[in-house]
Amino acid sequence: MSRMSQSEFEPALDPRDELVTHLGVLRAFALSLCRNASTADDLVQETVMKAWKSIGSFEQGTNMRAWLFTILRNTYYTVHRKSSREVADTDGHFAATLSVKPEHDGKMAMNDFLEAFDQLPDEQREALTLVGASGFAYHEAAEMCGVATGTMKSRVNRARLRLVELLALDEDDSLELTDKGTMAVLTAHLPVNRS
Amino acid sequence: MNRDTSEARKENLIKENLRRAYDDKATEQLPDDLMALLAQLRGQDEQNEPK
Repeated sequence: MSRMSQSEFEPALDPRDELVTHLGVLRAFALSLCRNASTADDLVQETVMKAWKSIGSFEQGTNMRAWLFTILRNTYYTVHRKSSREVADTDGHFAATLSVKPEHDGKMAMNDFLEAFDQLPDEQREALTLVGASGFAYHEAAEMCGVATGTMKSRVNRARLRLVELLALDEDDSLELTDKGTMAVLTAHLPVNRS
Repeated sequence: MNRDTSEARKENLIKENLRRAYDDKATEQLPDDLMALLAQLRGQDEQNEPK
């Protein structure tokens, strides 16, 4: 039989198989919310169980990552937020749990960044993770968080401004970013508040 | 103009650090507990599938 177009003649990817491909980013998102590795892994497990159970309600062709992130954040805010606050520092904060890969002298700068990121309020950390790291559009992130797009933009903007302040970036930090390696070397010399 | 460039560079710096931290975590090996859970869920599905 000749090969026909995939959309018409081949079965779509089983959503359960697709779900597995999002687990890495789901963990990263969970950790940015919880700042506790153990709680984050529990949160991911709960999310997977819920998603698996309701996989039939997932609409094929829509954004599964957004669907999973929404389940995860709803679970976090209804179940884990309180306990996460209570145990946030028992096994080290976000900066420590991220187990930054040493990239020569870039390690110190990354840890400084993560410590500053850790100090942001929950909603700003979440906004920055969704838009700045996960690559969601403002309107997608807003929908996931149940807020207006303008509110999401405002949260991202406030988060960035706060990080600039916390990292004490000033006019001298006119770094030209090219690639990861260059970045790591350049950021090793960033002035950081250590008061 | 210079101010705009400076702001853009600060923003890029933050964005790059954020992505690097996120990607490092997202590409880590998944924990054994999670893999075991997936195997369990798949096993249950197979058992429940009509023969």
